[in-house]
Amino acid sequence: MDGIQTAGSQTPENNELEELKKQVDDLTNSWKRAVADYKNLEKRVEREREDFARFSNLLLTTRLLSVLDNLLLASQHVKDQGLDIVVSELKNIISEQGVREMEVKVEDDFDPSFHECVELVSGPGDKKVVEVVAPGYIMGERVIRPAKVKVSKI
Amino acid sequence: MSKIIGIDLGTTNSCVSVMEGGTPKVIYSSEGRNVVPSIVDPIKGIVGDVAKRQAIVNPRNTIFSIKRLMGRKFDDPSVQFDLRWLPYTVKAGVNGMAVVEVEGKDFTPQEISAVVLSKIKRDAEAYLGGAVTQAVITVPAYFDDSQRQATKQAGEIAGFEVKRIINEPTAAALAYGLDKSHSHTIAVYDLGGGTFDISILELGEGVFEVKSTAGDTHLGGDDFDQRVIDFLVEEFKKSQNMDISHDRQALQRIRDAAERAKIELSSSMEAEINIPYITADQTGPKHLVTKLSRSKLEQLTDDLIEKSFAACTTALKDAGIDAGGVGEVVLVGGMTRMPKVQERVKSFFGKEPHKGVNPDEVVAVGAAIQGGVLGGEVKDVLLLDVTPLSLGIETMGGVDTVLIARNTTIPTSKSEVFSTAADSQTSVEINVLQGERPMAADNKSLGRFILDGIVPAPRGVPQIEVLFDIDANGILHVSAKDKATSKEQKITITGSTGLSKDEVARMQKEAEAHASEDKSRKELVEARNIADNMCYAAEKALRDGGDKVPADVKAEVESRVKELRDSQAGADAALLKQKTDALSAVMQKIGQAMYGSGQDQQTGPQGPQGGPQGSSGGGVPPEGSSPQGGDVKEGEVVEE
Repeated sequence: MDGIQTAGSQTPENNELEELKKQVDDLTNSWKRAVADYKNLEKRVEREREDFARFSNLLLTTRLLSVLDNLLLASQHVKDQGLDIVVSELKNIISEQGVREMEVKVEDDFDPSFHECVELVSGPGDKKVVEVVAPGYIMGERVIRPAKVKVSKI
Repeated sequence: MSKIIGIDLGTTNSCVSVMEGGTPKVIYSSEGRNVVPSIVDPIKGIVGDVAKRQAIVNPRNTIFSIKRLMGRKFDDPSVQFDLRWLPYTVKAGVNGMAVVEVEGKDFTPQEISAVVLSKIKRDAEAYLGGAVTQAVITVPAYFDDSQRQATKQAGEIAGFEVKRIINEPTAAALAYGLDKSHSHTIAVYDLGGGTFDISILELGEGVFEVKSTAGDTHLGGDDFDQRVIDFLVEEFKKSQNMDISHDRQALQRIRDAAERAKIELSSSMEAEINIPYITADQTGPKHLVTKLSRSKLEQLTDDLIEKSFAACTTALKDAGIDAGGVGEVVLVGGMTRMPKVQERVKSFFGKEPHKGVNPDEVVAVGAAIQGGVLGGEVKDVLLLDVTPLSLGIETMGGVDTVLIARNTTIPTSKSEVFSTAADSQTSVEINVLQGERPMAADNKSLGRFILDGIVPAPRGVPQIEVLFDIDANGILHVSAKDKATSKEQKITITGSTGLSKDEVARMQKEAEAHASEDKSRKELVEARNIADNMCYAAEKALRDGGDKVPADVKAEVESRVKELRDSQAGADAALLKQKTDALSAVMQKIGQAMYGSGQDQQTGPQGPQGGPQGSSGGGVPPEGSSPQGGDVKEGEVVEE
């Protein structure tokens, strides 16, 4: 059977042509995909770079929050105007990063979306915020750090 | 077609990953974290970090560690053990299976896990921007059929078509591409937040078979943290004579600080622990200020680490091999970041463990790779070659200036503009080099050609554009073009990437072995180039200044130049730098003299500069490299 070609349109030339057409199609497709991938990558790199800048600022800001906590604790113990100025300066820097303090009041309902319970204490009320141990912070819609609160139980 | 995501449904935390463009990518949660705590309040329908925050308020409604109950009967000894410490209600449900009861309603472990999986699904959909319906979920290697079925059901309740349930150690091995390795026996050491697993796998025909597993269901990072907490409480007691072990708020702060210190000690030898205003007595506020060294941490947790190796010994024995029979070791779980753990794993198995992939994510990454294979995406990836070694040209002083760095994906091209190294230089030689050593002589010369006909000009003025282009077949085209005359020369080199593996490995090894010596040689050449450039600049300044330069300044500069030139060949880099700086200092006097003598200065017509210089064999200095230029020392350029 070797060497015998069937008659009709399936000539070797046609076969080859079909083959080549298919190859061109395939290659054009993969090429377009590669270019598209690249374009998308470019966009993502750009986005990620922005995210990265924001994120690294956020990391630093988050670290500063614990310093702020300690300064707030200090100012409770030491009544000093200078210290208060330092605290408000640090608060300004943090708010410049788009980070704002949550408003949490005593007797608010405990809401785990914004609050983290660190201790249960008896009354008044049930599942109400009794004391804010450390303030919580929000950036945009995202909770960066929940407010640490003591919660009442019956 | 939607993507198949890979999910590591863990006891403490869960993680999700997906293949994108041929590489696995971990999807961050809506809270911006790479893992989601496997914690659920089924009544309120809250999950993850939010559920964790309310654990103290609703201990009986906050379900965690549900994986410990998955697919187990209520009277299973392990369930009986766990229900003693779990704060929520566990009871027997349908067919005697363990279920949890919350506010009078029964929930199966499948339903609880489904809440975690649903959150993961939402996060993945938000990231991928479309529906996600298919998943690969991992389970511990020791899970029996009932536990695997339960895990699959959890996925289905969450709305997934579970394409496959795979073993966690297998996923970890996949993440390191060990399915393509030649080694047949793989040990996976998984020390997570609350559980320890050791699995011995055997690879045959691309399929992993679990030979044995062992572990400790209650050994993990939390135990390590507890040791540090106990230590800190004890330290505080010693120094302040106060017991804070019952002060919840103080303990909370200590817990945070202990975990931070533990993490810090993975990269540094000592961690400072400062907790100001931790408590107060009649005498005023008290602060916890102490230091924890890495060796102290290792001492505190030594028995915990050793405990894991008892399990490793069991696993090896069950697999019927000794430690020497293990070909590859993989680390999983956050605790394996601890240097002591890595060290002990290395000494126990006698080989360096794999640890490049984030140990918190490695299982999810492996599951995503499995998902990619099932979805056909991995197969579909066009594998592009990379250049195994760096390609560059020889520049002034015999330095190899790299244009295309190793591991660059091809096809690629790169061009850079160079200039002449000498005044009136009319030709440059392009010596195309391959290799990782900084000096041209140590690398392989692939070919060389000369571009001539450059219009005579002061050094640094002509612009010669050198273009490297590697096509998809690995053929390297190098061309050099004089931008002024558009005269061009080129060379085509085949087989620049077709090096044998051994050859590449040898060249890389050599580069590593000579790294420090090469660095100092390169520094010396650079120092010489800078010194030479400074001499050139000084001489030019004297010529340009002519009579305006006071005789004493001129004499001083000339003597410094002579001194520098004389020492150029013999001196080391530091001495050359020192002398260069000295010359630079006296050169300022020229400037001062010129400035002081009036503003009518005109640069004199450019006289013949320097003697006729050889025009071939000179390297070309990269333009814009600072400082520029340096003369051509015929004897210095290595010709091979």
